[in-house]
Amino acid sequence: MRVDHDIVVAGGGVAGATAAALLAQSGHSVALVDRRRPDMPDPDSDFDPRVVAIAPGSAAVLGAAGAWERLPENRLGPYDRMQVHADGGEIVFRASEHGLGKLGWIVEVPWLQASCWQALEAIDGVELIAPGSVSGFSQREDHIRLEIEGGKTLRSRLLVAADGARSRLRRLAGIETDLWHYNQQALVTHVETERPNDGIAWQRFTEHGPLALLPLADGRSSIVWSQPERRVSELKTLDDEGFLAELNACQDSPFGEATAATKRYAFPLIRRQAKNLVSGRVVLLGDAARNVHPLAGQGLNLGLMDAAALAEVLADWRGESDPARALAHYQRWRISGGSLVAGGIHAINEFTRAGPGRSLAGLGFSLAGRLWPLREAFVEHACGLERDSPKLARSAR
Amino acid sequence: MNAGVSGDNVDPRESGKFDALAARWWDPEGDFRTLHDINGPRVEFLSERVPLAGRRVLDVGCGGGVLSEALAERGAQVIGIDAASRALEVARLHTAESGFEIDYRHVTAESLAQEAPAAFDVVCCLEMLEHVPDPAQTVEACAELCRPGGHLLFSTINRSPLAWATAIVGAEYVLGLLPRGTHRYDRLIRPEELASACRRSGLRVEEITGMSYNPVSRTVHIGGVPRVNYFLLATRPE
Repeated sequence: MRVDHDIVVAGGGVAGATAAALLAQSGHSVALVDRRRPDMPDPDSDFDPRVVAIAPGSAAVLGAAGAWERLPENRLGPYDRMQVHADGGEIVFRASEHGLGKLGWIVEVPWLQASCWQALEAIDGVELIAPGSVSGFSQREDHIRLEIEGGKTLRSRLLVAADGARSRLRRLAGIETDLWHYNQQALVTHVETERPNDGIAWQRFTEHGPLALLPLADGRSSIVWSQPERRVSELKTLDDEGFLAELNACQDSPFGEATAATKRYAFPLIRRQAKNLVSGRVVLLGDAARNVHPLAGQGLNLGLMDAAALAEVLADWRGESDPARALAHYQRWRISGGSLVAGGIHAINEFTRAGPGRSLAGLGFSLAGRLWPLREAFVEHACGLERDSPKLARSAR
Repeated sequence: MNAGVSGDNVDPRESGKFDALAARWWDPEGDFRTLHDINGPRVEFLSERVPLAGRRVLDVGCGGGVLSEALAERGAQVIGIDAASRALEVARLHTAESGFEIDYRHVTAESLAQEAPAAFDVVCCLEMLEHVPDPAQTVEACAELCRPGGHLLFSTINRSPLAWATAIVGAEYVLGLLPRGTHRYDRLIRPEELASACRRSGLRVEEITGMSYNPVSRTVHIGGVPRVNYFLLATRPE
């Protein structure tokens, strides 16, 4: 059976768009379908509340996709230090001690997404179908038939479901999930501090949940503060002065007191893990495969590792041959890689929500900080550089 | 005060338990703390599977309205029913504060099924079956209330030694998370019993999945084996 594309990627978020770019670069014919084409953000606009941490391994993957160099310097908040504090101790990581230039960058999601789409326009072999949406599919012997909203149908060899944490395609593929609802929300806002944040990702495990101050390109810090839902509702309704007082009571960062804050947003914290990543010719990627607590800034990094891993396992695959072996490899690889990180983050969050857990965690941090192999392993995992990472990510070193 | 709904599948002692606690329904740190902690997760579980916005949703055994309001918050048109009249008063009073428009009625699922068959897109019957004398009859009424093509969500507690140890001894006596006497072991329902009651009522069972709760971190996990608390999602075939 002739097909329209080797691979259709449903969902043009950062992970989906990166996957489309990498797959097209390995010679596959690719279509990317999304409800809307992202606009290039206004270069003069204030920083968007939606920011993510990009680790060096992820930056290398975005670079290979042609997106990283499109991000303007003045929207990148690099950090070469990570400091994590709990009641009983702390741990500090420095990029130079691990042979790295940076430990990561804080980047706005709209800029990342728009850069990925710009990169896609410059790559041959990608068709962008936007606005569009895959409303259903049926799996056949040697292809998959996709229904595109509005009545069109497409035939492809593979469908990559990158349609987000609440993935509808995952459900249609019959893949079950585990869900952990933390009864916590993350409050996000950008704050000005007495001294500029010149490159430290700072985190403290405060009562009821972690608080992070992450560097923005203009010296302000983006905060992510996970707290019980009711407490977040209270924090959201306080006036600026009241909110800053609450924040300053919980933070002792090197940047001094927070003196101003932008509008506050909150979102519920839910971890999901798909029990399988492959069903026939459907492959889950990014948040559709799993999404995690934001405390380690790993959500998008895991999705970008999925994109690089999928391109790697499919590098030698050509449309007519059976993709089952390559997809089984992808599933084993990304289920274990994702679960280790997601499970670790989950355990830390669960453990540090009670006072004794926080004290023990602090002690653990202090001890871990003295054990070089442990520190190195931690940095490698956080940066996407461990031996098990896709080749593209490891090229960052 | 506690007027029973006559001649129905109601155990007045059971609904009375909840009436007596009426005033405390909406205290998130009080007797119903566990209910508040599992409420967000179970609505998330449902809304990831079944569209709620603009749909007619029935909350069977709505009590003080904790679930009904969360469903209304997702845009559903909610009707809540319960056999405990004081709990319904609490539910009505609370909407005055929260501003949700919810129709609360003092009626059993069986009576409403005669009055309004196939009237709902979604029927929820959560943490309720273990309190009625004849759960299969309630399941059948729920099936009649759901339109063909609609969805039903049940949740209850497995009748297993582990459930006895955690849901009754642990939650009621050791940790004090639930008022003592909330659950009776012989009223608990095994997943296969609930599934077969659903099939006898003409429903198609889509998914059975466990739920667990960590009372220290207050994290709720939905997925995996239905050891103690569990959900059953069903559809009424067209």
